[in-house]
Amino acid sequence: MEKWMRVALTRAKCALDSGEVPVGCLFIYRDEIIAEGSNIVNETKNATRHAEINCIDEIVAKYRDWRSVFKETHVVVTVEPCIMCASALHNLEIAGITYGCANDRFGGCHSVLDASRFYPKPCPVFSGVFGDEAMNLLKEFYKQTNPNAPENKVKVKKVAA
Amino acid sequence: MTTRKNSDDECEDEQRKKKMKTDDTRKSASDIQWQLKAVLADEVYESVKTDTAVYVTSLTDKSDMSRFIKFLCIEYPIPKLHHLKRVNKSRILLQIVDEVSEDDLKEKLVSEGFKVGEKFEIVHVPSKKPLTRTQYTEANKIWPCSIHENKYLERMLTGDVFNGEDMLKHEKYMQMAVDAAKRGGSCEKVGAVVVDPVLDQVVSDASDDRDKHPLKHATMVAIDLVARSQKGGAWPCSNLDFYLSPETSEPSPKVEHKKRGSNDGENAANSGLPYLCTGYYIYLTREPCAMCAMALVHSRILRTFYGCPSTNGALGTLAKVHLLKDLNHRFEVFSGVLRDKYSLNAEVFEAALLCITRCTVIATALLLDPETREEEENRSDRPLSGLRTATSLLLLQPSRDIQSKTSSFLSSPIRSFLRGTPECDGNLECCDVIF
Ligand SMILES: [Zn+2]
Ligand SMILES: [Zn+2]
Repeated sequence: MEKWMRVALTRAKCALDSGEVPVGCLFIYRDEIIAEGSNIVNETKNATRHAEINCIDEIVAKYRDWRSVFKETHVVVTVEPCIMCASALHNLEIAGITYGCANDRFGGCHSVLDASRFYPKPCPVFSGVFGDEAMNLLKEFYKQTNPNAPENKVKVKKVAA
Repeated sequence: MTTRKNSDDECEDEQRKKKMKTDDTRKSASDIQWQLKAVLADEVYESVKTDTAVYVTSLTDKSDMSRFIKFLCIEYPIPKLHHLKRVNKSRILLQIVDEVSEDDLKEKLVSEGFKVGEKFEIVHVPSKKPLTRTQYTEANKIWPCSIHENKYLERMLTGDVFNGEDMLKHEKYMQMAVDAAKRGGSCEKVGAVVVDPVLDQVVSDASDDRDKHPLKHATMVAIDLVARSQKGGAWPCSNLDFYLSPETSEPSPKVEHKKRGSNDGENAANSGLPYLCTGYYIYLTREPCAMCAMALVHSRILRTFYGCPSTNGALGTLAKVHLLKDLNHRFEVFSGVLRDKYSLNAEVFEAALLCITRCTVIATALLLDPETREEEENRSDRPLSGLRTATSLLLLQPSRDIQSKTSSFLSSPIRSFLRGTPECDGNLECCDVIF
């Protein structure tokens, strides 16, 4: 998996350069990359367009029998998938997930919540492959601010409607 | 049932256009027959646990009381039990048992000249501060305590958050979600409608397409259509669905400002331009799964309303993703919109059915209208599910897995539905697994 993680890290660096969250993600099927992606949240104005989601899209478009392809696919991603992506992957009964560093903000494998418990056939999850490298990219990203977020994030006051 | 329009005669587009217009004037709030339930944190519903042992004594010399209390507050503050009063009539709370030995404590008090009781009483008190009136009353029976009463929380608990006008809006939008669910192409019927509550305007209206694409749960589709209304989006809009065109969703700043300003900060996008689902409500026929629930967190939805809980739901059933403390966004969730009316209204009953994720054949319960029957039977292009034409036919087809849990839930609403449906013959032809 190390070889694949190295590729994923390169992709994450590219994402950082283009202003998206530096996450690199590969879907490996029969020792071949069948999808790769990074976040395109800003571009699509859709906060759910994470790397994993984009890859799933790609595979669904590419394979008619995507259901069985997913079952033999291993996901290599630089950062722990968020609760949404982890849920999506467990639901697809993917062969396995390998990630680099933890995702303290949204992590769905162990950091914030373990999504595997919601699914009848959760896939095995491996962590810590080149975790430091992945973490450094993230740190660099969070130093810069997200240009698409509203300038002053007013705390939402709940009004009795 | 008889009042239901025959939707087959109208083209889908026409229907949707009609829906966009408000036609609720005939209805009044007293017609509402469902109950809204807020999905709150577990701790709000917990009963009071007396989990902490404390020493309690009383003074033989009552005139020394105020000096004693002052002394205790300085020498033995108990920040953990800040919600408890120090004095209960003549009894005084001294310290948590685990913090100090009885002998040491007594020695110290005596050395300060206090005449305390021979033996300290040990009382078990609640360590958690009461959050609700109910917890307060319960805790007070054990030891006097204080509460920062949260009026809004109390209203959430009783479901009394919205006025009649709002409730009618919730009903209207949930009805749209039910309609969206019905037109969806996948086996599992789920509908999602995103609304800008300030402008009282639908932003997106989505059906479920998960059979063709595993991510196209109604919620995910609705979120992407919101992005589309902001000139973004990743998926093409299906011709079954709707989104507000970007031109309409960005009204002139002037109007925008005035309208939003009047609602006291409900909309967090201060710039006036919509940002993700900030400030929006989503109406879902059933509780979303973990993926969809988290997608709503990412999208910063303001409130989620759903009809029925679902077995794999993550906004109440398996988890409460909307309340996770580690996340950067939390939101309010209400369930029960349009629920609990199955026996009265076929469409609502459908909403109830939609909450069942994986059921086996419930086969057919039919059907005195032979024409419709034939028509349905000839449709082999896709598996039947749900109530396609509720006026005369109840058809449910197998989906993948069988869950015995859902079957018992299912059987009684279906039976009561049939009893109230004279058009049906009332007989269930069904698979033995279910009934
Ligand atoms: Zn994710
Ligand atoms: Zn879902």
